[in-house]
Amino acid sequence: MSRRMHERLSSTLSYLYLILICTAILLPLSITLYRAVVVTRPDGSMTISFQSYTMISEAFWDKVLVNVSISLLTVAIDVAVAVPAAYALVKYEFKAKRLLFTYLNGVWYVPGISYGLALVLSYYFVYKFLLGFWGFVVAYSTGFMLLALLTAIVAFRNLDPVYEEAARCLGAGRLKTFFKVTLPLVGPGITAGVVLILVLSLNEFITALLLSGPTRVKTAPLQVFSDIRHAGIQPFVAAEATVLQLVSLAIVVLYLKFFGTKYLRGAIMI
Amino acid sequence: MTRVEAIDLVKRYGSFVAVDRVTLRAREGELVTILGPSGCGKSTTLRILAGLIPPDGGRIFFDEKDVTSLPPDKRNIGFVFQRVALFPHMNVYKNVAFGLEMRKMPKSMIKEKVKEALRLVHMEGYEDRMPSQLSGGQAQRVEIARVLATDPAVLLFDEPLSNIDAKLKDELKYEIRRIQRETRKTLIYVTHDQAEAFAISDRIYVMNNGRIEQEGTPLEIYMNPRTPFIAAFIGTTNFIETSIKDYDEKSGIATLEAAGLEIKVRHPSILDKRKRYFISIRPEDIKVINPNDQESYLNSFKGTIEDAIFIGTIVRLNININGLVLKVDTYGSERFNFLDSKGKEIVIGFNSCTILNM
Repeated sequence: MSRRMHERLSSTLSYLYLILICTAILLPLSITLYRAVVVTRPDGSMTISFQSYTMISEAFWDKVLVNVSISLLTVAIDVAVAVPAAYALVKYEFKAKRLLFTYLNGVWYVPGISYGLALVLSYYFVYKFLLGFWGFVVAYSTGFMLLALLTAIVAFRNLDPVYEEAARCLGAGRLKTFFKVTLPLVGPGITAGVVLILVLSLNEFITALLLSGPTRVKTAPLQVFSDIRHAGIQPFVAAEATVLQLVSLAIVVLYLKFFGTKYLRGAIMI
Repeated sequence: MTRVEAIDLVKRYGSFVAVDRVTLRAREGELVTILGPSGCGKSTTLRILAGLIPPDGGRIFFDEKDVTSLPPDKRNIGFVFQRVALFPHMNVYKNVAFGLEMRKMPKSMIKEKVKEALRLVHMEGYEDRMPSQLSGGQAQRVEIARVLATDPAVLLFDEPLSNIDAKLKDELKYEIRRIQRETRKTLIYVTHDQAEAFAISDRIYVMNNGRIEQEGTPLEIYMNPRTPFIAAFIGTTNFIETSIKDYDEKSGIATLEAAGLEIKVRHPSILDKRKRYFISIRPEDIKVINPNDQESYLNSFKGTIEDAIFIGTIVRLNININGLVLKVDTYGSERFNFLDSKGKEIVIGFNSCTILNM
């Protein structure tokens, strides 16, 4: 096979691979949108209508708001706790450091259902005061804390200590060095964790399902699931699903626009 | 101008002693270099002076002030690192202004000082560039401007030219010397490159295995190395193990013996005949001479050219004398005569060499 043919073949295969991946991701999303907006008339013909969106109940929108609030609070708490904790874990030596890292990595592999069950047992049966909206916030924060912690640890570990040393030698104290130099430089790493927590907490289902019983709070994904169970896969249910997709996308895009890109350019976060 | 004094500094990592009772002094406005091979403890010593590493023993004084336990931000130092340490999220202006902002200076003064510092390193007009848009040499200049802007009491440079290509390195080392002379700051400079150290230093401390082996001016260290390590580390030399045959107190000339050759050395004091000594003869101190001129030299030997190596401005000859191979450097247009001279018999002569204790 000539070199040119080899290049052409590998290029075609690369494109096919990309198309396959995009199709695998986009197809289910497209089908949901199709179910929400394509209506079959009595004569068998099809038309596009957004009527299904008007059929979404007010309760669903309330739950979207609850969901977004829980997610934003989760991110705020996780970042506030995980960033200093990760910094301390990376910078300071103590005896059980390795053991702690092994434990933290180990927790990561606990299945969601087991973790959700553990949260229900803890919050409902042990700490009965953590119910309702704040029960969700605390549960999500602890659940996603590890994600924030591990991404921040990786970011701090990858940071060349020479920048902090330079800042100290130029007269900056520990706190100023942290806020003016360290934090902006680990920004992209922390942003990765924030985006993941935002997306995952907005769409968290298993923990929400287990917590919704004792806390009596329903999130938007639970509402969609409940609607599927009671009404079947109706266009308005598909419409709810597409709304959730759009909310997720919008929040991540807005976050990256106002913080992420700044971070990636290395501007100061806080 | 500030005087720096470090007394008996010690740093241990487990059982490994990285810095072993190091004492060094830099007078006001002096450029002092700590020179040594990789891993000898020179950077650790500098980092202890900066406060980046706490010492396990010893004291550090800036003038009369004991700064041993002060953090780096309270020492008023300017540290230039081996790797470029410009903050990648700030442009050149903000990098240079950083230290001034930490000192809470008014904005108008910061602007003036940044401009002045950039002028000093010939980097005016680069204020808006990001560090990623600078070449290695430019980045190092900005880094020097950043430390100079804060008007530090002491400058500490940790191999700032080690990642820069040879030509630029040559240019920048003289720039550093010029800036140090202009600002009259006390500068402690760390390097493993003896040519760099010799070109810029007022005084040099040679370090090996965590200890200071010798202190002196570049000339003193080059001409009178105190240990075999220094003789080998500083420049190129011919090391010969010898025994004492005779010492003539009247003329002050010792006769030493090696490989059946008698080598005469001027030495001010009596040498112990029971001991063995190293002698160090620099290749540039040995001349290829006319056989009729042998009288003019304290030592002259007949030998055969084993090899002639072209090293730009030098052609280095390996001369075999009774099985003892000496390196001899030849210069000028004469050096080209030796390029195809393998196997040729010549006469060499030399007057100076150094006796070192084993």
